[in-house]
Amino acid sequence: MDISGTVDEKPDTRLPMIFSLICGFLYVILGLLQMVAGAGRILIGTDFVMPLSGILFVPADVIGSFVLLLIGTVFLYGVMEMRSGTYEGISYAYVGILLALIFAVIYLLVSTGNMLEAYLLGNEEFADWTLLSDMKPGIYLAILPLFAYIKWKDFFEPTTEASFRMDLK
Amino acid sequence: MEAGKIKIALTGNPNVGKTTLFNALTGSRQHVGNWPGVTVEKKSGSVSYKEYDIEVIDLPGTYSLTAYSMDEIVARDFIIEEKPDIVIQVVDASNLERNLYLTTQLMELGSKILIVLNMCDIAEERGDRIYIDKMQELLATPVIRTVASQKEGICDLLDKVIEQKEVQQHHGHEIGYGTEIEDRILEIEKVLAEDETRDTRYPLRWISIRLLEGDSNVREKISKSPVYDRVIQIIDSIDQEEYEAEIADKRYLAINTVFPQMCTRANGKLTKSDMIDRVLTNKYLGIPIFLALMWGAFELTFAFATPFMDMIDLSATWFAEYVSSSLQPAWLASLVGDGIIGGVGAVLVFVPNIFILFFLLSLLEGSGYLARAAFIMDKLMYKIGMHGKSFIPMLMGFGCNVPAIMAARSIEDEKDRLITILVVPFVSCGARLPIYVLFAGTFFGRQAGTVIFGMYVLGIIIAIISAKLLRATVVKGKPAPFIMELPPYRVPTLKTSLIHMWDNGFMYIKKAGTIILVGVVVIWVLASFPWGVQYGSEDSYVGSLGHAVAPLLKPLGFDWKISVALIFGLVAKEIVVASMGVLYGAGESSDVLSDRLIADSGMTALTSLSLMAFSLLYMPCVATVGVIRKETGSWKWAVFAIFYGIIVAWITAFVIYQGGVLLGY
Repeated sequence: MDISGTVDEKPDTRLPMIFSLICGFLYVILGLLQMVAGAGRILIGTDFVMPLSGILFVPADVIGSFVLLLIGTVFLYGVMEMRSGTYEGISYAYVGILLALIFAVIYLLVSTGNMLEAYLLGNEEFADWTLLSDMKPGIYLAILPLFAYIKWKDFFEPTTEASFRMDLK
Repeated sequence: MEAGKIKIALTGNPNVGKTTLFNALTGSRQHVGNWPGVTVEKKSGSVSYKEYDIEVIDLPGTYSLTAYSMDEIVARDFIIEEKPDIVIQVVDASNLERNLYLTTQLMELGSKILIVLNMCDIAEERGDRIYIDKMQELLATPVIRTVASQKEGICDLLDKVIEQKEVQQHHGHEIGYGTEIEDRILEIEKVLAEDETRDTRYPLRWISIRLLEGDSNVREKISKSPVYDRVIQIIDSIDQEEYEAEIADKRYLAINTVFPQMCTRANGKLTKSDMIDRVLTNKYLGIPIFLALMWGAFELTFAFATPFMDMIDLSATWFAEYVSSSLQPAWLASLVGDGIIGGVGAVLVFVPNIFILFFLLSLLEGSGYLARAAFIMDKLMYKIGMHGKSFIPMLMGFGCNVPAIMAARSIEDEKDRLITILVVPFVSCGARLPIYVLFAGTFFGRQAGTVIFGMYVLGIIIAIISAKLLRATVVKGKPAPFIMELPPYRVPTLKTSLIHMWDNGFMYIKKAGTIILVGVVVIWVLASFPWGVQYGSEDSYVGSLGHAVAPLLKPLGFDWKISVALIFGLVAKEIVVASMGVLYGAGESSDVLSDRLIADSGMTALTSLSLMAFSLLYMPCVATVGVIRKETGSWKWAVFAIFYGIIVAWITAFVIYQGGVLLGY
């Protein structure tokens, strides 16, 4: 995924586009799974267990599913723009990465709070709590955007609009 | 001018960093934010430098001296009427051309000006180059480069201020407006000069130009002059709109003549701000992203704060046990244990939530996202009869309704402003947060964060519906067009965010030690008397009070205890939780209070939802009522806000409770 060095010459959107496509699909699929899990819990009750939810750590959380779907949509929106030749579609990849990281940080902070409850305060409600208890797609899916952010940091630095358009032609 | 003393005024366009410069100069901690209109009142501070006492006045931002809004009038009147020794115009170096418009007007005013080029780092990052020497030469005005957020150039600025103090003469600037307009200016000047009683602080040329531009404020200022009718006769004989446009064109012509000589712009750069804005202001994604970010903020406010709340709880338990075992007689132990620690403790335990909420709000504000939120909501706001700018005071209301109502001063149109003032109290402030945390945490478990987020959304929805209703009835008319500058995104500084968090969080703690303390003592007395009754029972005074009001609130699912808590919550919303702590005899622990609420057969998840909604919407707190009166200049609107709030709260809670009962909850 090393695209450094190409920025000044020919910014190529193919790699960000493929990256956005993969991230977009992953976020949308897991968002849908999470929504089914959440809706099933509400409509059928606590007996409802969605297949794969254990392996994929999918919680029954409808609001959380909207967040995943939203991040996925941002990535896919960028893919559509980049495919149509609009270089500025790269903005969606950038913001998608930022949103993925922001929500991962939020989930990790919430998890840190629970860890303090379990290990520092010894709260009975958290007696069975382990590090995996709070694992969710919003956290592990952010690993890919995190790598992309580190690797492509310079790629998102200001560049002239004029050169974008020229490169595309 | 007194030797050793200098009075300087900081003026400039909104959101150019005046308050940041003010803080850097005076060492103050005035609130700064990355959106236009943070400062609505002038603020003063001082700095001693090289044997000079320099008084610094921070004025609200203004785009021009043709004042359209209240805060702009404050800025203009101060410069003209108080005559500061030096007017420092803070200029956003990344937006130089537009900022120079105000410079042209300040020069016409005859003030001694010093230009501070701020935010040079942003301009330089973008690739702009500003030739300061050339700029000084062309404007015949000293120019100093600063990066106020990093305290760069502050000493140079103070040195220049002292140097300028000694300069007796300064260059007078005049922009030629063309033969026709100049003739009119001269004509008006001549007529005005005949009035020997006129206010000589206002230059005649300046007044004449303002009148030709249709400045109603200046027109009012000369309305008692004996030559007023003759002046109006001249003004009425011209096409004022055409003149106004022509005058603005001439000013921009002057700016465009000198601008290319003092600055070269990097061409068409797409900045990170542009990239982010492309997505965050997208017409389909903008609002969902805004809602998701707000949900994340409230999820964090609830969930991350919980262990810290528990730590306070544990400390308070130890303290309460120590105090109770040391106190005699029994009534004193009850006053301290059930009353003060039970009540104040029930409020203090939510300090971590308050601190986290304010920290997150500060991040949103400092990043520049609030201005975008107003922008993406504008279309919706306009449809329901509100001004897009109103959304910023509404979001500010998440912290505290009082400054949020004051922030409405930046709205130019009086009707838009009035509607904003009247609906801001529906926006959930920090004082309501403990109520949500207590009841959502008790009855909704891990979904508490979402329920709390829902309450904030409910507040916004009710505010929007109310605006529509007000626009259609008592404040008829169409909202004015929305024009707002979107500031560049910035990474908020940790220091600014922590200061903002501390200042607001400390206010909450201070309230717990003052008004809430008094409130809980009063409730304890009412719960303990007449002498001999069981503490907090239905036979006590508080029981009688609760029973008197309870029939009105029974359709909402509330019993007499909740009724009492809501009555005392009229003073400050936090007292609702404090009262529950006292009335349920929960002592110091919020966990005990939660357990007793669950054990109370009258309290269910549905009741708690109804109670949260009622607490959100019913009468604004006393401080908010006071500021509504002050900002509207009449008790009429303050009283209206009280009764309207109570009616809306009752209807909403009724719909929630009775609807829930019908659905079998």
